[in-house]
Amino acid sequence: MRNTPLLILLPTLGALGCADSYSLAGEDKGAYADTGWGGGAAAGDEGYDGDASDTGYDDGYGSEDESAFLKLSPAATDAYVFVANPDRNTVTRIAVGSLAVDTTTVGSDPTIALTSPDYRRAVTFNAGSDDVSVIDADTLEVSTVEVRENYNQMVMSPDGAWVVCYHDSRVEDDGSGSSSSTGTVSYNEFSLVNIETLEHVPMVGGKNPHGVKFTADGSTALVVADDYLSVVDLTAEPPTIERVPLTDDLLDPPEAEEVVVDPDGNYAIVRQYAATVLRAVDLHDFEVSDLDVGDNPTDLDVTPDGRHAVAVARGSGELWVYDLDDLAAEPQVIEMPTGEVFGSIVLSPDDTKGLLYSTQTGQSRYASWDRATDEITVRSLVKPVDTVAVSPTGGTALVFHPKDDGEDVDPDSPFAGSYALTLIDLADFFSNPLKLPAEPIAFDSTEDGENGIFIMDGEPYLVELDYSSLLYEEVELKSEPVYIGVLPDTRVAYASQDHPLGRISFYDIDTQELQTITGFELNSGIDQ
Amino acid sequence: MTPIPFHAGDAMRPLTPSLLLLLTACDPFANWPDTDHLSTDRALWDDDVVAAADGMYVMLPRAGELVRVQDDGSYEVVDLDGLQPSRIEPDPTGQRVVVFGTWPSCDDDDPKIRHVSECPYDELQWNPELAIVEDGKRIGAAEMPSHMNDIVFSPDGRVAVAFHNEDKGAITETQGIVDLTQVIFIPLDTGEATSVSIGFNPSDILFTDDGSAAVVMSRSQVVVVDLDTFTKTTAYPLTLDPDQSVEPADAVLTPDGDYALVAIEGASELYVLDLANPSITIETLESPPADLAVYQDPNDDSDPGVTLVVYSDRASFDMLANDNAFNLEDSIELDDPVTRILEGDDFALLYNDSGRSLYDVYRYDFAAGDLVEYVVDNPVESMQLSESGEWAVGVLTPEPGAGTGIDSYQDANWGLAVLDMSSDEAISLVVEAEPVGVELVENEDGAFALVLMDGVDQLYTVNLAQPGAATALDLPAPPTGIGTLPDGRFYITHQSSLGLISFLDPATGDLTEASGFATPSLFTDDTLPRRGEENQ
Repeated sequence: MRNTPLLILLPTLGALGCADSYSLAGEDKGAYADTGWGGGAAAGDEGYDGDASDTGYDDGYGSEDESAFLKLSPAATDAYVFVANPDRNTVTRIAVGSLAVDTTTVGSDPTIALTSPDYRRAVTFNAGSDDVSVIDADTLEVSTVEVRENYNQMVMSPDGAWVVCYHDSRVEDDGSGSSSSTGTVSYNEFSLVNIETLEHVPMVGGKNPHGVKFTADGSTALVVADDYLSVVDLTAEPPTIERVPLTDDLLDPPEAEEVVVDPDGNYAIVRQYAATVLRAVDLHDFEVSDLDVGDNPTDLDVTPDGRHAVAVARGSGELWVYDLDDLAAEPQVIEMPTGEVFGSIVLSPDDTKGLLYSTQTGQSRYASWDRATDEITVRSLVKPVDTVAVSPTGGTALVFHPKDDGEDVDPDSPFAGSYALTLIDLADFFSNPLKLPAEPIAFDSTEDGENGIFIMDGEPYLVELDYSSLLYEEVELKSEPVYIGVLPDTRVAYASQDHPLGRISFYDIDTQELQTITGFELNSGIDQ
Repeated sequence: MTPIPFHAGDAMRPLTPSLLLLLTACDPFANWPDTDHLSTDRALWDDDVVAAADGMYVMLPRAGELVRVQDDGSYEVVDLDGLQPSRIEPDPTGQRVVVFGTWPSCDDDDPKIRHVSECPYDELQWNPELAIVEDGKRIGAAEMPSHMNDIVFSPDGRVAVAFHNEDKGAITETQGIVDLTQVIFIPLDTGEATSVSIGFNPSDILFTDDGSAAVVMSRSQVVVVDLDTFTKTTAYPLTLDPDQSVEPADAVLTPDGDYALVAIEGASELYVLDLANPSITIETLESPPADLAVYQDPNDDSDPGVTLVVYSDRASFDMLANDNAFNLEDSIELDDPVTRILEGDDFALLYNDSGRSLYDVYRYDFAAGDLVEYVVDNPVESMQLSESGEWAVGVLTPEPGAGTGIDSYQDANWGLAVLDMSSDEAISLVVEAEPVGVELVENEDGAFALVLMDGVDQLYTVNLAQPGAATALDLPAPPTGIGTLPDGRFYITHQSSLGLISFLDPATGDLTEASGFATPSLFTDDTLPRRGEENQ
């Protein structure tokens, strides 16, 4: 994890109503201090020339990298922004309207912070003290719930009733927190905390839990590990667990990379690396069935309307489209252009388009998928792809490029050896590539889809993007930003910055006014 | 040692009742000089006098006494119960005087020991104390830690606050245990002191206009103290790192008393402390500020006003809006940096007193937003405004070698600048010697500057409307300082062994004198005071 001094709490919806698909590595973590580029998906065996086995097929490119920060939802509270500072063990609340600042102390090293969808509570996971702080958003009263040791992740149910803490082995350990303890350690445990009753329920799941998903109604939590899918009934008193085996390979189970849940909460579909099937788990009788998926599925998404799941079979160059209302039905298989290798997909919010790309092939290209005609058109880019995002209204795509060049990048290109960002108008695929001085580390968009903002590592400004004109503006900040977001129901962006005493700026996109608050961390030391 | 010729006639003129009293109260012959010369290494009187409503208070260092001098020449020794004054300060009302000092005690309770000189050295203690004097009488006293050397008063004069001010001198002696975080609050009605631990090295104290609270700046901390209960209500940290020291350099309160703005030594950060709803934010300025001042529309009590900030290294000044955002409202470019702000009713006068060869003085009109530039001929040492705000007068320092010809003459001498606030006119006068005191007076005849110069036995009155037309008034002796009396008159201290203060009525031009009040210093009395109270 990137170790940054400030952490913005994103009051996430947690409302993954339509069963969203998230990479277990790049899952919607809310606000992480280290939302770096590339969400930490497990690397595959790069350079491998493809290996077909009885149970799967590895095309050798490794796992696609689904960057976490692009998955971050806009802040979901219109009242407050919460800033957690791991160095101070505090959370500071800033009122959106008045910018009044209040600070309260939480546990040691709060590394993850979330808010409930009803805006009533904020919750921090405190890695240093192995507990969870539940904060009343209005009074800042803090309740502490101890959890098991050695966790490094926390997610919240869509209804905000529960948080689940677990250890994700793919998250880098910075040495802080109890994960560096030398006593007895379990990597398979996870803790449920009811933030209303402050009840703690520890459980044991499968090997190497990679993520947690919830059914849309929040009644069930799914903890996915390599060998088991733990299905937790959150409505039971106390919650109950059913561990569903995902594989017959007891010695070397394939790594479960991704899980989706259908909108009705009937099925969980697990994608495993280098597999040729998807594992569909019936959440009622826990029966596991296989869904054919071509070779080496590397991405799995659910369409915005929740009716279909789309898998990218990179190994066989196919898109497999499943009817989530009838998983037994024959899936639609769409051939990708011959010779093209795409492993990831991003669907537009209006479900009219999909963008296909790969973060592993080093190819400077992407493809557009017309959902109506299933036509796939390959288009060029200035550089390979690091990650792709789409504006909330689906009008614009953003393709972030890595600094490294692919073989197809002209050394004399102005973008060679630089980070870059390409803005693409999805109406006609007209694009504007931007050369960047540093690596983008955070990005967000206004809810109306008109503007985006992003910040770069070590650069003391934020960049405002106009999705209509594809133009950009740089807004100078007083110090280097570490996190950025857009206040909900507003066109005001906020940027937390590196400052020993806390600094956050609010930028009004319409008026272009910038207001900065510095020193709010001192409030934790005020003695009355 | 300064030999002071002693003649009986001198001692007898004027021989006041207080002196007779002194003679009768003690052995009149015990300390009577037995030669016709008296040598002393201590001044007989301190010309750092205090003007109160009931007279002038003067310290007599050699005698360890305090005298009250009247303009009719009479004087009397103030009974401080053995306290030997080291510093005196008037309260804001002019009704009381606060006296810092020490009184001797002997831990050896041998009844034969009655004088300081009889007490064994290692048994002799000097006890710090603060006395409150009103109308020539000691009305109260409070024990004071030895390191306290400065005092400020609440605006209503109700409470005095004593603290150690590093700028007023280093601590030379350690008695017992010294708490450098200590501030002493003394209600002047009762004299009952309350010690409050504020923070290391308290450096500045502000008071809310209503006198309800004191805001005390110290290293890495600002503390608000309730002036009714003398308890700390809020402590604001200036850093969260215990290894880091943050030194307040300057501070102002907003007119409504809701915010304290604290500048930090050597830093561009301006701490904004919300005193009403405790919180802290930091405004980052372009440079470390040289001075701060708050302006409020004099015709609108509800106006939150602005805070002016000037910088020694930037040719501009900033105005911060005193609303809860303290946004930068405006930044005005100047030709040269300025380091001081003088506040008029509806304008600010900005000048540079750093000693650099900078000659610009600026007047900024808040209502009109106009900036007027004045140019004086020498660097400014100090500046003051007349009461009406229509004139500003500054003392200019010499800068030899700066110019040629007639300019070199002006540059080589001290000067006086007269600035007309109603225009952009500035006149720089050359003065004979270093001004040791400048006071401004306005009456029906006009506006004038009263100027005293070092070693010059004359008081010059400069007509500010016609600066070239200055008149001189002969003084009885070279002056050392000038000040104002509560009744609008002026006092002038002079070089005089036995004490000399003149009183000037600017309305009539009459000058009266009081002299010889240092005579009691000729007679020292080392009787141990408060014998028997040493261990109480």
